[in-house]
Amino acid sequence: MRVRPVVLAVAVLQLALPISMLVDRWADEGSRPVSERPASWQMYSAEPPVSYTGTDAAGRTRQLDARQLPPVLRAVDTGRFLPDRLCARHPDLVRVEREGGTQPGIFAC
Amino acid sequence: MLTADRVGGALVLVKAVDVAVRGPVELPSALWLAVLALWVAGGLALLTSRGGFTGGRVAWGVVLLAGAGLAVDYPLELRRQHLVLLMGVALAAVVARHVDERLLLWRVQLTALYGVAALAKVNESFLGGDVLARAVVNAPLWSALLPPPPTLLLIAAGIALIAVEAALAVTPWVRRLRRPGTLLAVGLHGVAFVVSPEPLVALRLVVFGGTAVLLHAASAGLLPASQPHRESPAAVGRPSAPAPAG
Repeated sequence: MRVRPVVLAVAVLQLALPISMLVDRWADEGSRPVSERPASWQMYSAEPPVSYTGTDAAGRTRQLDARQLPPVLRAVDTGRFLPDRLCARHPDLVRVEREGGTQPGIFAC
Repeated sequence: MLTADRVGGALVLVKAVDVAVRGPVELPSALWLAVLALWVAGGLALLTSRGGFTGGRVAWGVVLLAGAGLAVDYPLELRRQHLVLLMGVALAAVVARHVDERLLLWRVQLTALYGVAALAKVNESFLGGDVLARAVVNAPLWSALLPPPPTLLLIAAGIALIAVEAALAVTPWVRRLRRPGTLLAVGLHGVAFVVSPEPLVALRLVVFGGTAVLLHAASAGLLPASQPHRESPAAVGRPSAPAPAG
């Protein structure tokens, strides 16, 4: 079958647009993507950004880095899993606050 | 006779319900009603057209216009994958001059969709089970019927999902794999429907999954790729089929 230029152009568009969006996301966000680009078939492939703040017994607060935890489930923001592990890693904390994500909240250690 | 155009028409009407429920965003009510009318008209035209390949082409053109109207009303709608897929299908149907061209573009669409979807999931969040865990926890139907899955199962499911999507990117191009690929697509999109978090999302997943399965079925020859054609039976994608009387 001889492919007409307009058909070829649509086929190239179908492939090039999502591939370029994927490359763009890798360049911006690396191996832990937090967004899904439009028109790019990236559904169910990213976790929105979630931040954790710890508070110690004296009331001092500091940002906690969840990336030090094992990769499995470390970004899940729908339960106590990650706050519990942050409490275990930082024994001086009395509570951990989660901001962003689908279930923000304050978790006692 | 059930054809890809008619199934597409039904899916366009499902999208029209979504448009009607959502209501206008940017456009004045009268213009928004015109956009909604285009969705309904495009869907009905695909469902009822007897104009053969050309009639279907015109009807898909109306759907393309309806999609453009929706994007004007609410540009962020173009972030929604089901609409982008429906517009891709409509664009291919409008551009193609015969069934072979239409099927070529629909197969390229499937390869782009599943191939990039599989590649996009090769990252720490997805392979670690985080994305699937969120999807399951947020799905009322799943959480009502089943306990939360263990982490290892989530990780295995993630790897399996990537493998399935990668396979679905290839099956349209291998004649013997087209029918199994259609079944696989029905299963994949069925699961996506089960874990949908709310009714409106479920409606959109019907449009997305239905459109994807439609493309697989047309590619596999399970559905004629266009309406019955008055002039030439070859145009419906089944050269040996007799021309319908009506």
